[in-house]
This record gives sequence, C-alpha cells and structure tokens, in this order.
Amino acid sequence: MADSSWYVKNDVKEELEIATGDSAEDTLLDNYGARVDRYIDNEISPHITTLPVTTSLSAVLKDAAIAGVAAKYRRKNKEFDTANTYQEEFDKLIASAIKRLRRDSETQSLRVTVTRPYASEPLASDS
Amino acid sequence: MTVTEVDYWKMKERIRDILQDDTSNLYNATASDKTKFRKVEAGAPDLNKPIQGPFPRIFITNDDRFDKMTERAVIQTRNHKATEHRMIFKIILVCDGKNGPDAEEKIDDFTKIVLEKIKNHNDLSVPTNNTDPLADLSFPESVDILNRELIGDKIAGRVIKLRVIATTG
Repeated sequence: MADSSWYVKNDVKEELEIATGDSAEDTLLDNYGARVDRYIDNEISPHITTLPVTTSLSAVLKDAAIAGVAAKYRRKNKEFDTANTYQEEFDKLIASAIKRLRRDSETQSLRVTVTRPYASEPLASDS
Repeated sequence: MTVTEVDYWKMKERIRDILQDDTSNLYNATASDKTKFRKVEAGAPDLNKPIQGPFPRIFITNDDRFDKMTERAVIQTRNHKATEHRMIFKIILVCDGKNGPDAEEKIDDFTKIVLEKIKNHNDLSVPTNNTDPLADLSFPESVDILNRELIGDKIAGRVIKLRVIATTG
C-alpha cells in the first residue's frame, strides 16, 4: 500500500481554532500530520486488500488524523484532559476502520437474495 | 425615568478592539511566527482553562465580583441622579517559549506592550477614531501571575486587572 495523506492541515486548524491564514505553527502541524499518517498506514495496511478505500472509510481515517494531530498538539500545550479525549477518539476511529476492513461474509450486513424455483414433494402422510 | 446601564460585554469587546488595533506590535491574525498575539478574544476561555493554544493569546473577562456601584441622588427629592460603577476586568495573557526563562521573557514583554496600549486608551474609546468612550477612566490596577504551577514552565501567563470607572444615569 502506498503512503497515504489522511492529514488535511486546514481541517486540523479549524478543529484547533487556528485561523486559516495563521501559519505560525504550520511546520509543527505538518510534522504531527506526517507522523499520524504513518501510524494510520501502519495500523490499516495489513487489512486493506483492495484499493482505493471507499469514500466513507477515507472520511473516517481523515477524521482520525484530525483527532490524532489535535491530541499531539494539545498534549504539547499541556492540555492533558483535552489531549486524552482526542486520543480516545483517535483510537476509536482507527478501531472502527479496522473492524470494517476485516469484515467477512459472516459479518456482512449486505446480503444477496436469490430467487430460485421451489420444488416440494408431498408429505408421506398425504399420499 | 429611563436608566441606561453599563454594557459589560461591550466593554470587553472594546478592550479587545483596542488590543487588536495594534497590529504593528501586539496582534496579528495571520501570523507566521509567535512574536505577536494570534488570538485576542472577549470572554473567558472554555471551561475557564486559559492554558489552551494557539499561543500567544489573550482572553478578556471579568473578576468574580467585578462591579461595585455607588448611587448619587438629590436629597430633597430623593431623585436618582446617577450611578458610579467601579469595575474590574481581567486581561489574561498566555504565551509559550522554548523553556522557562524564554517564556518568562516573552510574557514580560507582552505584558509591557499591553499595559502601554490600554493606558493610551484609558477612556475605552474606539481605537481607530477615539469616539464613543465607554469609561470615565480606566487604569491597570495589578499584574498577577496566571498560575504558580507555571513558574519556570515553558508556558507562561499573566493576569492584568483593569479598573474601569463609568457613570450611568
């Protein structure tokens, strides 16, 4: 699997209430983003058998990247409660994505219904 | 008799406007570094936790008991004439640095600039044209550290208590 970019800087800035035009910490955020991207790739790559991932799964992983970068940023600023909340959200999103990637025929919610001719025989007692 | 009272929120917003007006020394919304405040906001921080980025930033809020009033009246007729308000607003400054001394130097420099700016607009008038004053007088009454636990830390904070005197009637 090729390296992926789940981190989107402006989405993270919006979450952290940093103005779009404020670039004072762009380098720091990009650094955190690269690390979170690598971690997400490490976590999901063993489970991805087909590419590209679906749009909704990609959205989940981008949400996870926001939470992951926000957790690192808040931790750096000593906002430990908020950082832990973001970390928990990150872990849950990654776990949910992996759960979805690992689904098999028994856990599939989408099933195919096939209509076939129904053959029956009279019961022995009816004959 | 119609009485017009003090608009506390408008005062906080005016203090914010005064601080945001100084874009050469104090504030830059599209900063590329941390030499100026990146956010200046009216209102207390979320959950009253001022240690939250992006740094450096300012919150403008009020003290616990922040307005003491003195009534003025004409003794013969008992007519209410005016109310003198003596208010205290808190200007909370927070910044970060490479280490403790660096953060302390930065917060001291920021405090100096903020004190100079608010003293230059001590009637809380519109900073761009000096109209619509909201106070008879305002002056910084004290500067406190934000939190003793931050002493020597790479995050530093100060609380400026701004005394504001205004008369309504």
